[in-house]
Amino acid sequence: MKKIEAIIKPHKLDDVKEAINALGVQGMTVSDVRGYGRQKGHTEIYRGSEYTVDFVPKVKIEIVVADDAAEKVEDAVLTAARTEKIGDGKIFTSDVDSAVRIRTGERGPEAL
Amino acid sequence: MESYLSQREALIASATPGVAAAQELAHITDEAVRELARTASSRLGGERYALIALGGWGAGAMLPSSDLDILVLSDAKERTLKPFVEEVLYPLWDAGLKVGHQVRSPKGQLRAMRADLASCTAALTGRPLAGDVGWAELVLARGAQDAHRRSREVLGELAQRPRPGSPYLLEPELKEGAGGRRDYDELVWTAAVVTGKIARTPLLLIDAGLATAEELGRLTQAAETTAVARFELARAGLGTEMTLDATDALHAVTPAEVQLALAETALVLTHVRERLGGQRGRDWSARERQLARSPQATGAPPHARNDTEPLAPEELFALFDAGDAALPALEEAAQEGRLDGVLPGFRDLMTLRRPGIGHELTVGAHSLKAAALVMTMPAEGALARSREALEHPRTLQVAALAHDIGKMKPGGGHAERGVKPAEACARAFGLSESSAEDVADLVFLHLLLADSATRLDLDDEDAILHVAAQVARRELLAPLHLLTAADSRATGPATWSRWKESLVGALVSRLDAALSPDIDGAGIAERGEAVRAEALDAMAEAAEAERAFVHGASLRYLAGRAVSDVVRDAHLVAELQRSPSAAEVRLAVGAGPTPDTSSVTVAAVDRPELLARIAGAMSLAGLDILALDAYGSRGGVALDSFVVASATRKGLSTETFVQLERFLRAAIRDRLELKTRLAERRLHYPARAAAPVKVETVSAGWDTAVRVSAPDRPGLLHDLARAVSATNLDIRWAKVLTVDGLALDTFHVVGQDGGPVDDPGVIGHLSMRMREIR
Repeated sequence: MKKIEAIIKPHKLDDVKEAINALGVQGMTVSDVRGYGRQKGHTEIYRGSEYTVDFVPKVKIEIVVADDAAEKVEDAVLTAARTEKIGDGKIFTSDVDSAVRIRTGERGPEAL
Repeated sequence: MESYLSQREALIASATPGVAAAQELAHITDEAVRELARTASSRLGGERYALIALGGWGAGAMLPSSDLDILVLSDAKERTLKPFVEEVLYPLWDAGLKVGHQVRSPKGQLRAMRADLASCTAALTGRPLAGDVGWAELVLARGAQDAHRRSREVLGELAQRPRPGSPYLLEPELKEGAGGRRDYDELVWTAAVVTGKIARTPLLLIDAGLATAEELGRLTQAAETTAVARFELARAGLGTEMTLDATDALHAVTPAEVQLALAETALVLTHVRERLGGQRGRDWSARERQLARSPQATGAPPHARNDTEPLAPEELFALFDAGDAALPALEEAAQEGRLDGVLPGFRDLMTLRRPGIGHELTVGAHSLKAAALVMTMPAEGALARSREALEHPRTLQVAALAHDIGKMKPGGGHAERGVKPAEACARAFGLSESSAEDVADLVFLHLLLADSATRLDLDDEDAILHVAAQVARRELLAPLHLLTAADSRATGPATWSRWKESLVGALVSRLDAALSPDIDGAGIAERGEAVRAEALDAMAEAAEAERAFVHGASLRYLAGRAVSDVVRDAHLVAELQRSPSAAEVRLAVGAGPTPDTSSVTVAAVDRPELLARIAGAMSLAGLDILALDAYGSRGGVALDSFVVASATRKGLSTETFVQLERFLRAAIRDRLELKTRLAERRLHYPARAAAPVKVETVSAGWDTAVRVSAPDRPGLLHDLARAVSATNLDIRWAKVLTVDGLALDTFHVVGQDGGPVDDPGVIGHLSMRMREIR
């Protein structure tokens, strides 16, 4: 199993959600996050002086899928979240050792 | 015991929930415990004893989830009492009932009542069940009299009793929470303390002059509703919190009825506490509380108080200004209907439930909280700037109070429905006609910023212009920003976060720029959409690619063009898109605004330094650029519209534009040494004015405006556009004018992230490059 974690622009969430749903992926976890990468963050100037360096608001989505679906999901996120500007975000894919559905005790891909 | 348990089970499963069922459950439990005591009493060897039911059971109302609180009263020694107590309690424990018990002597009981409020209140509703009932009643009565002697202390402690939450929570706690069973119990205990008598209902409060019969009528009805709800929740195996999921278990009462019952109970308790002078439980100062009461009513005898006297606008504003601390007083006044004078029907809103994601409170309580927060909530960054820019705080407070009035009717569109009542509310507050219009607009728009900030690409100029067109007036932006924040904060803790705050703040700063007189974003959006509609009408028979250009065209482009220009541009772009070569360019030449000028529209596949290449090619073709509107790139195609004149005495001819097209193709294909050729040309045609190059930059919300004034000379626009490209910035759009030999150019540039250029270093480099152009 693979975990796909993507940091995307907030307004791209609906597009990504639709793209993921179209692949038949059942669920994802979404969180509001703030951070910065190459985009640095905003420097605001108020009354002539810089007063804060703020983090940039993003949305983080996490999806765990079976190994053979990971690439398709990654591509779907990539296409849906892309605006071709700095700040489009990142996708991280990693291995997941185990998954358990708490209600039924099912394990592995069946638990997804 | 078995018979009791099966009876109990049948009763819980089949009884009509409510006080009568709770009384019946208490009654069969009394019988079961009496029977146990009768059998076990032989163990006492004739020692005097009494079993006393305490708490809710003692008061004669027992819910399926209630504990059996038993007081064993006796002077017997422990070793004598132990077998008796065990024989009474073991069957109850073995049956899985929750039993709380104390074994005390009469003196011990009095000591416990003095030492501990919980022991005291439990006994104030105590009811002897078995043993020497008369003796037990005397002991309980002595306890009540003692509590009466210490009434100041006992009532003081009661007023400090924790009452978690609010009766207006959408998921209220029906037992311990504000307005719940404990509030009712406190009224019963108060009745016992002030009269020095054991009490099982609050009726004695009437004799004590602390409550009216009408109030107690409402209270009894409320207690019945709460009991029904608690009975049903307990029957479904749920707790005492009426969560949104748990409301499915309610059949005999509606959640709205429960909400009203909680509000009524809390209100009666507040009145009784006030009449007792027991304001110790509030951090609301006496003076401020007084403001919440009408002047005539303050200090009047309890029964004469007119709780329906409407609050005057200045009293309400004083409460709003006090922020969070004023909420209890505001809620009470609203529940009493004292805000209905300014906003008819507001009392109904206090118990109106419109659950939504993140919503914690009823509509009315939420609105009061928004009104109290809107001028008092902490603000920093963009929100602080909006507060500083705010001109009419009273208008904003009224809008916050009325923003959800449209929720009186169910269904979507509450913002729109709220406009008329909100406007009337503003008038009732005595606000001017223009302020009333502002209130109406704010109510209509109160969802716009929060919705747009999370769903739109804030770097998309058209998205911003569309929102700007909805806001329409720049002066509405600061109050709308504050209203959005207060509305979100008042909704619940999950609704307003730094994440959302920064998105809304970014949107507001872009809207502020869009609505500035320089840009007139609202006008651009309006004109742009009108031109789009007309152009599409005119192109009903046109090819799909041409119509697609118009559909996708930016508002700024459309607003700056005549319909006929748009139709022609669409054709030009569609032609270009049909071409297989990425280095293709298309020209459209027409008459200029004056006899000696021509208009030239250039469509080209976007690429680095495109504007510089086009401007350079024009210079080499012997053209002076008098004006330029560069509309940036859409769908990979850039469209630039020029007004040109001849830079030589030769005048403009077909030959000129044929040559221009040749130069353009060569420049775009990198087959023209523009830099060298322009330098040669400058030798022959020096600048006509001798002014220094001036550069000024202004962050315009979603891009950065670079304003340049420089003496015009061949290739100037090419050099300026190259300076922008060399700084790794993109030209989103540009406006160029040449007046009396002086070029006045504005480039709206964005960084690689598509937003304004915040880095002072980058701006500094660009300015330096431009100033170095000679």
